[in-house]
Amino acid sequence: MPLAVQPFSPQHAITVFACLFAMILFAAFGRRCKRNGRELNLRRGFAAFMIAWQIFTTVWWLLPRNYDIAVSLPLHVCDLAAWIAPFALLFQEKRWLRTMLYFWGFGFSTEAFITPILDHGPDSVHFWLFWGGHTLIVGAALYDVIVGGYRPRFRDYLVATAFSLAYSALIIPFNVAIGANYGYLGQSTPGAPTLIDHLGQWPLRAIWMILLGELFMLLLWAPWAIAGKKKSE
Amino acid sequence: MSGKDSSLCCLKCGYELNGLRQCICPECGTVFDADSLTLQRDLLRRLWKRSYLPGVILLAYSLAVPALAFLDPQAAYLLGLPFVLLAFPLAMAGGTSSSLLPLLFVGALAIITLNALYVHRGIRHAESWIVISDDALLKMRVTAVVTSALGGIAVMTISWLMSSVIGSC
Repeated sequence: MPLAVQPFSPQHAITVFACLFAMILFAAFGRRCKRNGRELNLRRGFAAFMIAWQIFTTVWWLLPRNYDIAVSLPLHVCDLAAWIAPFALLFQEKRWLRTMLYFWGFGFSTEAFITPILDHGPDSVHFWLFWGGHTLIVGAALYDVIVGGYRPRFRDYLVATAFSLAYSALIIPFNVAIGANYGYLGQSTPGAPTLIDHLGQWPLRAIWMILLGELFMLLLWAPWAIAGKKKSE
Repeated sequence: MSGKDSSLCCLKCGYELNGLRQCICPECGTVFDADSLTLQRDLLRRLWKRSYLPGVILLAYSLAVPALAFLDPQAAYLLGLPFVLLAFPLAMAGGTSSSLLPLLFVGALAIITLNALYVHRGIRHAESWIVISDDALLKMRVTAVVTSALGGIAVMTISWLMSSVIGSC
């Protein structure tokens, strides 16, 4: 596949910068709309677009020519985060949704930008679904922090941990049963080079991954806790 | 006030009221009535219980059931039903004992997290009534994590042992 984006290549960097630019631009536009009092319409439109995107992605993967039980089911953390994101934006009073968007979006979905697991180029639907989907998730998380004013608390970290552990508890046996690698907690490794390759053999690798996930989420909470403490002093 | 009240603080200025003989804050001069101090002591005591009790109960239970199995297998079987409920899906999902390892780890971590959430909720509730020193809060949180970790590891280990028995049946 000549157009495939190789990890850490100039094409990879250009794609990541384009996605990042789109996210920041949209968040800046959201702030402007907030000042004009039109932010709610923008947020609803964004959420509706994400739901439509996610329905298209799910159906596309389930089409007979694309279907493979080991990869097509929407059971990756990013698939779940992509469904959580629009509802987190729509129902801002449901704090747990925003919490999951923040921790899974920034903690896990950002990994896709650093080490993309994709062997297709811009001439393929895979490419657009992969980069578009992850940009929407992280973009929604960024939007919620910059425009929605979401700030994680310690309790939120614990809630995110509880959900992540529940996900692991369900997905590990499922992976073992069907030989899949959803959540990258299965016995195989992704086809592209990732951090997972350096975590040793399964099952210890799964434990390291869970611990690393915890560390990422802790690091996502810590700056706000420190800033809050300094502010109160 | 006795040494036990070291985590008790003045409601107005947060000064630690350890070892005071009179109900007056030496820092800001606030006078406390005996009832409010009793309420504060009671809340703190409950909070401490909340931090260690779930973990200690889990640990005691995990040790008591296998010990009971030697004395009265029938009673141990009935008391150990929660272990069976945990062990059965583990045995079904696992296949080999090494593939159970991540699940056991997740289970133990889940117990720690749920207990931390429970203690955190208690602290938030208590803080709307009393001022608790940062030192005491840290101690409570560490106690909660350590005791629930011990309890969680014990529960998952016993379940793992039982799942290998179920798996071999």
